[in-house]
Amino acid sequence: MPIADEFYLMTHDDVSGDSRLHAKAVGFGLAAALLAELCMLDLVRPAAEGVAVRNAPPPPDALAARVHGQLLAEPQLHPVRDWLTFLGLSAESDIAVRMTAAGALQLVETRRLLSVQRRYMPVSVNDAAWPTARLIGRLRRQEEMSVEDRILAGLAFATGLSTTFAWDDVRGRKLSSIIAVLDEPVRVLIAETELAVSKAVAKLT
Amino acid sequence: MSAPPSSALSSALAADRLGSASVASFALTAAAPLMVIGGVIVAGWANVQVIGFPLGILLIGAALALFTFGYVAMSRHIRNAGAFYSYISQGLGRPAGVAAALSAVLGYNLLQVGLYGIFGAAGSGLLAVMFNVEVAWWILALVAWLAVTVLGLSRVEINSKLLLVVLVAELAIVLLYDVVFLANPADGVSFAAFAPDNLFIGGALGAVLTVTVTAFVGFEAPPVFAEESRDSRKTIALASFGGLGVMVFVYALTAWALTVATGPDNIVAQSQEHAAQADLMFVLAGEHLGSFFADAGNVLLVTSAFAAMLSYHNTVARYTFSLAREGVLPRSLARTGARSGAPVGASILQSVIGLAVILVYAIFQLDPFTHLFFWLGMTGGFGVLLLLAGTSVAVVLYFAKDKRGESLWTRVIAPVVSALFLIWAVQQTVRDYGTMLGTGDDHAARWILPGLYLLVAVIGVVWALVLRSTKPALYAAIGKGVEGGKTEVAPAEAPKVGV
Repeated sequence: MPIADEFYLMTHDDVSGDSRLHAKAVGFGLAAALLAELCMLDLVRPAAEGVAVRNAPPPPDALAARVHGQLLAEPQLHPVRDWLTFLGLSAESDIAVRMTAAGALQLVETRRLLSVQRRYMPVSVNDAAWPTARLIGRLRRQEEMSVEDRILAGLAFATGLSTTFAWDDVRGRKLSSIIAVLDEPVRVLIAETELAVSKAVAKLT
Repeated sequence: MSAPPSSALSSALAADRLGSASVASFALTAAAPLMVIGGVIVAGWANVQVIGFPLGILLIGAALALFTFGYVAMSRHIRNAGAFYSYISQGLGRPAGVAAALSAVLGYNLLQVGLYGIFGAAGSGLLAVMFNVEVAWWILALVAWLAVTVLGLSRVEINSKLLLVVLVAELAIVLLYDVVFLANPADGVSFAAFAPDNLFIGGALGAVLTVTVTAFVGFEAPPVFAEESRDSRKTIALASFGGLGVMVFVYALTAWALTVATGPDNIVAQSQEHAAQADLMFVLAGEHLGSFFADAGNVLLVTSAFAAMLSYHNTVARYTFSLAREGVLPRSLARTGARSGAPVGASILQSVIGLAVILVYAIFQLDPFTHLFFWLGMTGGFGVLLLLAGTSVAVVLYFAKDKRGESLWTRVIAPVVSALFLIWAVQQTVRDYGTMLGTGDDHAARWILPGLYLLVAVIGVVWALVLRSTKPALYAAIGKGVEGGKTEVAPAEAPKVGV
């Protein structure tokens, strides 16, 4: 399963499909997860001066290809935070659409008095709970973690998700050692996500 | 920052940015004109017993306009949600910056807590007039406290459009009152309120100046939005000067109209008579407009006090959060709610302080209007005056190192004149603090309240020096706000971000 899909499952309730984070944090976190997917394919490289993109054939996945195309279409470098904001505007629904096509989510319509409420709900509660359970288990048992798991752990911390799972024992030294082995671009991405989420807390708008 | 229009990213982000009108309305909603005149200025007349507040408003308005030139110029070069302390850090050094940060937390805290007093006093007066029920002020204050606490933790901001509607309604009713007051003078349309003789009175001038500065609190908000504004050069300047202009016009006109309605010689006595319920304006207007317009104004005063209370609560909480994340305050205050995105740690601290103050005032049966709203509110205003003076000096020193393309007027003349005026105002206030509180110089509060700033300033400087020797990286980042905060996930070399 792509990183962004797993992070979507982590950031949403495994039964109701409701978000576990506030809207800005979900947007930033999922945008970062999408960029992380492209990082893993070596197509983009987040750095201090901006997100560099490699002109290469588009990846097979349609959403990843679209994001790659959006990066290629920009005439200049943009800072990581601007990409997080921009991609964050639509990341949640884009990923939900991809996951629905893959059969992980289903669009459920509930009739209300005047409107129809649409929401994405996990098809299988067990599958939806798996990424979080796997990550927490590996952190607790201090097992070897894959690069993807490390990125997910970093994003969970960056978005504040770790506090809802009471991962506080994982913060601090252990967490920094989990992230430290990641490549520089991914670490920049995680740090910028954390910064964007914190700035959203400190701001009125 | 500017990018060719062909960029999908740039145009999507630009669509989200704020224009001058939105930024100015954020500033004015925290200001609440009815509360400023009906609460702050009327209480000023009652306690200081000087007629010349309208002239004081013009004087402070002019000083703040001069101040704004340098202040807005700083916002073009330093982006931070905690404008005062980050400017002071950059201009006067980090120890002064930490002292300013703690003073700001204290000052805005006092302003917020003081609002529980006017809400309780005006609310219980309103219930008595409209429904003939007697409710103790502190019960209403506790209800407001509970609402503020819950809304603060769930990060609910009152919808900005609703705030704007209430603000427009307030302005309309204030201007209607002004017309009525001026049309029905007690003894001719007198300009005595603007006569220097009625302001420059030894032992009272400083009190008038601080009360007036308190009335203008909120005008300093626009630079906080620099990063989210459409055009950081024009938007913030326009919002700052525009907001200040509206405030000066409405406040000076209304304060003067009130003196005309009562007759300049009676304004002090009338204010004293109505201070406890904060209803002087409404009683006077009711004589000519009938009870509907009087009650409408009274209701708006109570609702705007609540809106201001919540807005200040959230402002203080965000400010505290930024300082905690930066490492200047304890890290536990940087705790946030994942689901709400609220600065939970800081918000709880603010609520605990509010509850403690309300309970102390209720138990010791202190007066909510005089001892809570006025004493603590004015002490908060004095803190803002200190920050304004410090920031003026910081502007001069900041641009002395590097002109950064700013004009002589903006970086030297205007800030030097405003610094001299504001420092003089601070000195006058310290001298006249007893007059302002209405206690004379024998009461301990006269020294304790302004002395709090000296205390936190000393703590701030000492703490900054401790940080310098123990945590140099943290010390170096002071004044950068959230940007400066280091966390476990930061890469060894934190990404440099363009300012």
